[in-house]
Amino acid sequence: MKYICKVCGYIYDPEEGDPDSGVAPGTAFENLPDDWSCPVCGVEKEDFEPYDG
Amino acid sequence: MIGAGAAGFFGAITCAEIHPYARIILLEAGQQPLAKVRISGGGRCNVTHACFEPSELVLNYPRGGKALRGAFSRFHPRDTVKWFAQRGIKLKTEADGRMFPVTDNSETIVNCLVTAAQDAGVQLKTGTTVISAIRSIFADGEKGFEIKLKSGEIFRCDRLLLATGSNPFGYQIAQALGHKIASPVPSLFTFNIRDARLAGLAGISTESANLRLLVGQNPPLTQTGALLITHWGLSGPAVLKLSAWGARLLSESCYQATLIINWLPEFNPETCREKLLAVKTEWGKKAIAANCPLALPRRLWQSIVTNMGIGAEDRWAAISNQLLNQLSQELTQAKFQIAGKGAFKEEFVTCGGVSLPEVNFKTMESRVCPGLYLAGEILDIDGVTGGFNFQSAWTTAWIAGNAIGKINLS
Ligand SMILES: Cc1cc2nc3c(=O)[nH]c(=O)nc-3n(C[C@H](O)[C@H](O)[C@H](O)COP(=O)(O)OP(=O)(O)OC[C@H]3O[C@@H](n4cnc5c(N)ncnc54)[C@H](O)[C@@H]3O)c2cc1C
Ligand SMILES: [Zn+2]
Repeated sequence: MKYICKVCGYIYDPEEGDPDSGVAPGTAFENLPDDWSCPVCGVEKEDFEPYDG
Repeated sequence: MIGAGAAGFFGAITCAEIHPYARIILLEAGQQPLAKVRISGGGRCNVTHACFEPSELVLNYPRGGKALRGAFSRFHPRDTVKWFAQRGIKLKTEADGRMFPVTDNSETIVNCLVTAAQDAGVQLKTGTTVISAIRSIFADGEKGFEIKLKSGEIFRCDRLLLATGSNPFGYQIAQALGHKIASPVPSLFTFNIRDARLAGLAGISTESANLRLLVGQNPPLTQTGALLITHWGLSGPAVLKLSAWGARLLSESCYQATLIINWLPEFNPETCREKLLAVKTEWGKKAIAANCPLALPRRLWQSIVTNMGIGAEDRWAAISNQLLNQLSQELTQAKFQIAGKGAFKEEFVTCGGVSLPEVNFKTMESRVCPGLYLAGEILDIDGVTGGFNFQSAWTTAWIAGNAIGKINLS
C-alpha cells in the first residue's frame, strides 16, 4: 500500500522504500521507524494517509 | 486561506493586521503548520537573502523573475528583515549572503509567525484538508467560494487565498477554478555521476569551477562557483544553480545530460597547455602525480592524471606533447555523463505551478477567477538556493494580504 504526505504530496512507495533515509526497498509503511519523516517536507508519519494510484 | 505554510501565514497576518475587520480562517492539512519552515535550511531557516536591489534580486529566479520585478519594489528582503525585527527577531547575514535568525533555529521563525497570527486574530485549523473549492453564488446573491473539507464540512468565504505550496491537490484546486498549471518538476538537486575520476573523492571541494551543462541540442547552461564531490556525483552551489536553471530541460531528458567541467576557470585549454609546458621545463625531474602545479585539491589532481594513464613515477620531463594536450583538456574541458538526480537535503523547490500571466501581480488576484488570490510556491515561480524561495513567498503573500482585505466599494 502506498501512502501520501498530506502536506507536500510526496508518495511513499514500499517497493522503493526511502534509501536516502536508510529505508530498504520492500519496507511497508507500517514498518517504517517511528522517527521516520517525510523526505520532502519533514512531517511525521501521522501526516500520511493511504493512497491508491 | 488554504495552506498554513510560509505564504499562507504571511498572507493571513498581513491581511489581519491591515484589515482588522476581516475574518480569516487558515486551513491546514497537516497536524502542525509551517512544516517546511521548520526543516528549512537544515533546521536553521534561510529566511531571505541579503540582496537589496530588486533588479539584481530577480536574477536569482529561473522562473518568475520578470513577474516579481514590480512585486519586489513593494516588498523585498529589507522589508522582510524589518518585518521580523519589528517582532523581535533579528536576522544575521552569512558570508554568501544567506540570512538566518541569529538563534540559528527555524523554531524562532515558526514561533514568530504563529504568535503574530494569533495576536492578529487569525483562526488556524490544522488537520483540515481541503478537497475542493468552487466559485458559487450563494442564496443571498453574494458571490464567493464554497470550500469543501475532507470531513465533509463546508466553509463559505467571499475571498480565497490559495497557498498550498507544491501540493498536487492545490494545483488541482487552482485548475478547477480555471487556471493553467505549468507542469510541476523538481528543482534544486545534485547530479548523479559515476566516473572513475571522481571515485573515492567524496568530500573534496574546489572553490571555483566552471560548469557547462549540455542537455540534448539545447544551448549550454553555464555556472561558475564552488563544487563539491559526493559519493554519488557532484553537488555544491554551482551544481544546484545549474539544476535550477536546467530543471525543466533535465526533467524532459530524464536527467541524462553532459557536464563539461573547467576545474581551472582562470585558464582555457590553450593557456593551460602553455602553463603545463612551462612546468614541464621547470619541474622536469619531479613526478607528475605527486606534484600538482595548479590550484587544485591534491587528490583530485592525482585522480585526474592517474585516470589518464600517467604512472606514479612518471616525470614531467617525459610527458609527450600529445599527453600534455590531453592533460590540459582534462583540466579545462573534462566531460562527465550525468545519469540521474540526487536529493539536496537543505532546500528544494518545485518548478512549475499556476501560470503567471493569469495573475495580477499588483494584487496577486487571479485574472480568471475574481476573488481568488495566489501566493507562494503554488505559482510558477522558483528561485535558486539561498533564501530566495521564502522571499518570493513573503513578497507574494504580503501583496495578497494587503489586497484581499480591501472592501470593494463598487
Ligand atoms: C527541505 C527543504 C528546505 C528548504 N529550505 C529553504 C530555505 O532555507 N530557504 C528558502 O528560501 N526556501 C527553502 N525551501 C523552499 C521553501 O520551503 C518553499 O519555497 C516555501 O515553503 C513555499 O511556501 P508556501 O507557503 O508556498 O508552501 P508550503 O510551505 O509548502 O506550505 C503549503 C501548506 O499548504 C498545506 N496544504 C496543501 N494542500 C492543502 C489542502 N488541500 N488543504 C489544506 N492544506 C493544504 C500544506 O500542508 C502546507 O502546510 C526549502 C524547502 C524544503 C523542502
Ligand atoms: Zn511531505
